[in-house]
Amino acid sequence: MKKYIIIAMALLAMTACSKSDFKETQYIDDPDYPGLPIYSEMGYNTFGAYINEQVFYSIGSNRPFYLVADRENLTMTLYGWHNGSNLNMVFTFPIDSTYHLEDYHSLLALDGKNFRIDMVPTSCNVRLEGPYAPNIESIYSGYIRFEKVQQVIVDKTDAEVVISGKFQFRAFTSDGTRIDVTGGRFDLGVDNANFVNFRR
Amino acid sequence: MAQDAEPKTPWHHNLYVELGPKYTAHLSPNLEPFRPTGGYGAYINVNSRMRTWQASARYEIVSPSYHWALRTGLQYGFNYKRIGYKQAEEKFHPAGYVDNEWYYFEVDNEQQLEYLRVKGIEQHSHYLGIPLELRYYFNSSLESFRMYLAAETDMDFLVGNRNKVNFLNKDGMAPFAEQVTSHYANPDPMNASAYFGGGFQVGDRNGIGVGFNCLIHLFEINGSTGMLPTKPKFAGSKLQVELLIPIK
Repeated sequence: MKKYIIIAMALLAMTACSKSDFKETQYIDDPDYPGLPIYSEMGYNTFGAYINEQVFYSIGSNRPFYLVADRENLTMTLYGWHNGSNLNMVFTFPIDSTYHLEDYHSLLALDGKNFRIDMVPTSCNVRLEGPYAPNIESIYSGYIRFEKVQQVIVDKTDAEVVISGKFQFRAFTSDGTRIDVTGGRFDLGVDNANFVNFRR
Repeated sequence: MAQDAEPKTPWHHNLYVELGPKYTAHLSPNLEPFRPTGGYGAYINVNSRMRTWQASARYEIVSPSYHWALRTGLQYGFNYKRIGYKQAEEKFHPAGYVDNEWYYFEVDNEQQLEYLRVKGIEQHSHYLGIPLELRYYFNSSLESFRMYLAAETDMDFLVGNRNKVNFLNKDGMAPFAEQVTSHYANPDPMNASAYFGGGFQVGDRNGIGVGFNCLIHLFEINGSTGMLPTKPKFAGSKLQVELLIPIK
């Protein structure tokens, strides 16, 4: 855990200092899902979902997430805002070793594969972090799906990889409260600044 | 008997050199801005401009009564078009076009997302044309001041066209300009216009004079002027300063 916190702080510092505007968030409201950004596949660096009908959405003007790959799992942390305070949503899901996620470019192997992780019965884990974040004890149902993974080229130079997808799940907290996460979507840019590989 | 005949009033012959701008009302292209400089939450709109400078040498023959005149000659036109984005809050910037603004121009979204960072796109077109103008000069109590009405049509032939992309990153990007400009139309080889208007001349009709000519650009008869589509009717105006040189 301490290792991840240090990585997260370092990555946040790197993205905050970045002068490339392509790393900025471009937030466009979804009229069909009030309070959430539209579902897009353009690298707008946004995400959003309803948590028990209250909006959870990306904050900041720079990339609001990072990815960590280790030998067995891919962990995606979304930095967001919910109900007046910071909230991080951390997905950890198993990833087939055949994907060889050595660097962020290798995420392109997930494109066109209908890459979907059903949270049950896989060992997918979702964690909420924040001052008022409930402790998720069990996941009842749900999925996270990568709809599109694309290379972005700017001025003939490799800029980043964009991953776009959807998620939703139903879970129970340790005190038995039900959590419904619906309408989840993300459109995020990845490069060396927010991708770490521990598989090596 | 021959001595009793009234002397025949001669036709008048003049040369003109004319210069002036032509403004053409145009439609802004429908572009979806992607990550323009304004970025986060900024409202961005398209800024486009079209202007033509015309210079011509014309011969004029005027009826003996100095009312009706027919004019024709050779005309050169330089047409300049530009497309870019500007932020709404800078709408009243006197320059109109803010050079340090740029946006991502999407050139591919099939295999990958590919963008070129662009400040603006320009199209420079050169025309040679033949104008044909009919004028009616009004009587004037002042010998050195004349007003007139005019109807004109001209045919312009494209003799050169250059599309230019102002890239944010100037190093080595020029070879890729075609990827941007291929999204826009080039002007047709021939373009014709019709005008109606009037003006005045100052100076003795038998001496060198100066005139000011204002014409309403009624419509483009044929042809596309290029990457900015023109409005079909009442499409602008043409202002010309003319120098009159009588030759007979």
